[in-house]
Amino acid sequence: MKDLRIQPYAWSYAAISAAFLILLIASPGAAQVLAPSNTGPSASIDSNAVTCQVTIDSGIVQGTPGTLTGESCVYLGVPYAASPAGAGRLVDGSEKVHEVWKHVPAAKK
Amino acid sequence: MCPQLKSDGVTAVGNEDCLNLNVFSPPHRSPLPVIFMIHGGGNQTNSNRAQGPNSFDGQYLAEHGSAVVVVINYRLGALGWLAHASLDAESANAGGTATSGNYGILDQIAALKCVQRNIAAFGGDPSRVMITGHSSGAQDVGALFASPAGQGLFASVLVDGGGFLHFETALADYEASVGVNVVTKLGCANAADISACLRAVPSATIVQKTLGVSNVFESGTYRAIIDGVVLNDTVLAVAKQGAQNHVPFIIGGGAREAANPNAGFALNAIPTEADYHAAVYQAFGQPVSDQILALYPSANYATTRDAIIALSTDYRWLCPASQLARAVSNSQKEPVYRFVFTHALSNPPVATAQGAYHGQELMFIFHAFSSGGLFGTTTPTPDELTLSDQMIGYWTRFAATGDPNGGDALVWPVYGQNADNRGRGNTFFATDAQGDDKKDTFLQFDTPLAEGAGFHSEVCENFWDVLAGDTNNGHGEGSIAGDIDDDAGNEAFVTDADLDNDDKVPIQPQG
Repeated sequence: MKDLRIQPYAWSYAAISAAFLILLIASPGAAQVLAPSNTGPSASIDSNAVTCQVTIDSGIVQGTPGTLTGESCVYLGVPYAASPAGAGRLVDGSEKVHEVWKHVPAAKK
Repeated sequence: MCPQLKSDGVTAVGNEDCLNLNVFSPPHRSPLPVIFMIHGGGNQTNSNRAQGPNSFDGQYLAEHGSAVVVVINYRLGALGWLAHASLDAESANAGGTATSGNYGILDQIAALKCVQRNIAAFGGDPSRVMITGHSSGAQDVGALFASPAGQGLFASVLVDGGGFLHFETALADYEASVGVNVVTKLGCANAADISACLRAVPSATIVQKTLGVSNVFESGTYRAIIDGVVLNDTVLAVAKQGAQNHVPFIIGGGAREAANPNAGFALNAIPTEADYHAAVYQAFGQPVSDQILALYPSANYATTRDAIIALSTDYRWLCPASQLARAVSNSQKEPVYRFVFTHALSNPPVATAQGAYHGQELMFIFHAFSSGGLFGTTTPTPDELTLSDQMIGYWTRFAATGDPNGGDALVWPVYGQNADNRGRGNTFFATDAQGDDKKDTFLQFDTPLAEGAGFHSEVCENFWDVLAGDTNNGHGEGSIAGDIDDDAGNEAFVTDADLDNDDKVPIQPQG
C-alpha cells in the first residue's frame, strides 16, 4: 500500500512553504513570489513562454505571458530589496540594508 | 510606484515599499544580453509602470532585440536623495559609511546586484548587462559609470538624454543647502532627534513639501552626491581621471532637448524679450549672461522660446555630452559612441513643431507609439517604424557585444575616429584623408540614419566647455576663467539652496 503520510522532509518543506506563501498581487499583472526557494543564488533557467514561472533566490516568481505575441514572459513588481519604509527610511546603503533580498519578510507592493 | 506628486503638483501618490523591478523575458535558447533601464523624472517622479509617451513596457524591445529587459523603481525625491548631518552621524554610529543621501543610487546598485544573482533565471546573461537611463535616470547611469560601487555590475553603459554630468555636488555643500532646507520644511530642524523626526513624517507630506527644482537651466535638486563612497568626484572629473568603470560607453540625446513643456516653461509660452533676458540673468548672472545673450540672440530664432531651447539644449545637454564623450574616450581603451536624435515626429503637427524634444526617442526605443506622446497620439509612418527597429538593433547589439554595429546597419563610428579609418582607438583629434578634423563623431538618428561630426561643437568648445571646465569644482557652482570676474561668476550660478520650485522657474508663462 502506498504510504500517504507526508515524509518529514516533505512535510517540513510544505509547512515552510505554506507559512511563507506570498502573494505579490499589487495590481493586475504583478508578479507573484509564491514561496521561498531552496535554490542557490545561481538559479537555473527554468522559464518558458507557457508557464512564465522562474525560480530565483527568494522563491518562485510567477509572471504572465506577454500581450504582443504571447512568446515572451512579463514579470511585474518583483521586489529586489526590503521595504525602505519605517526604520528603513533614509538609511544608508550598507550591504546590511540592501542585501536583504533573501529575507524580504512579506513581499507586497 | 515610489512616493511622488502627481502631475497636478499637489496630490501625493505611491508607497514607500516600492523597490521592485519588471522583467521582460523573450523566448531564448541561450542566455541573452540584459538591458537594465532607469527611468527619468528628475529623480522625483515616474515609475517603471509609466504609461503614455514614456512607457517602459519592454515587450517589443525584448522580443525584437532578443534581450531581457529590466526596468526598476528606486527611491525618489527627498526619500531617495536627502543628505543631512544628522543622518551622517546616525550612519557613523551604526558602523556605516558616515554619509547620507544617494539612497536612490544605492537602490539601483541593489537592483543590479539582484540582476547579477537572478537574471539567469529569466534567460539573461549576467556578464552582459547594459545599464541605460533617460534624463535624470541617465544622470544616475553616469554616476554608476563613475562609481566604484558599480564595479562588476554591468558590461556597458548607454546615457540617453542626461545632462549636467559635471554638476554633481559635494556632500557637505548639498547638506548645507538641500539638506537644511528639506529638514526645515518638514518641521524637523529643531527636533532633538532629527532622523527620528524625519521618519515620523508621512511620506505624502514629504513629497508635497519638498518638491525639487527641475527646469531648463538647472540640473535638478535630487541627484547623485559626491559622498566619497558612491561618488568620488563629478562624473566628468572621474572620467578625466580615468577612474570610471572601463566599459563600452554610449552617450546621446535629442537635438532640441529643452523643447519640452515639462522642462520649465509651458508649451505655448512665448516669453517677451525682457523675460528672456531676466531668465538668463537670474540663472547665470553678470557678466556671463551678456555673452550668452550675444550667442543666442532672439533675433536669430523664430521666437524667444526657440532661443531659450537652443541655449538650454547646448548648455545642459549637448555640450556636456561631448565633454563627457571626449573625456571617456581619452581615458579608456573601451570604445565610446555618441548619438544625436534629430527626428521630428511626423504627427501630430504640434509634436512635429517641437523637433526632437526631451524623451521623444523613448517612443522609438520602446516602440511605444500607440500609447500617445506628450503632444497626443502619434501614428508612426513606415520610416518611423523602421527607425524604431534600427534603434532597437543598435541598442541590443551594444548590450550583446559592446559594439552597436553589426549586420547591414549603417556603421556607427567610434567617437573621435577618422571616418575613413574606423577602429577602436582613442584619438579624439583624428583627421580624415583630407586632413580635416573628424572629432566629435556621432550617429544621427533620423529618417534616414546618417553619420555626422561636430554637432554644435563650435559653440561648445569656444564657450560652454570653457565655462564648464572652470566650473568643474565639484560644488555645483561656477566661475569663468580669463577676463571674467570669478567672484561674480561664482555668485551667478544657481544652487539648490532654495527648493521652492515656483520662484526658480526662469520663465513666467505668458497667457
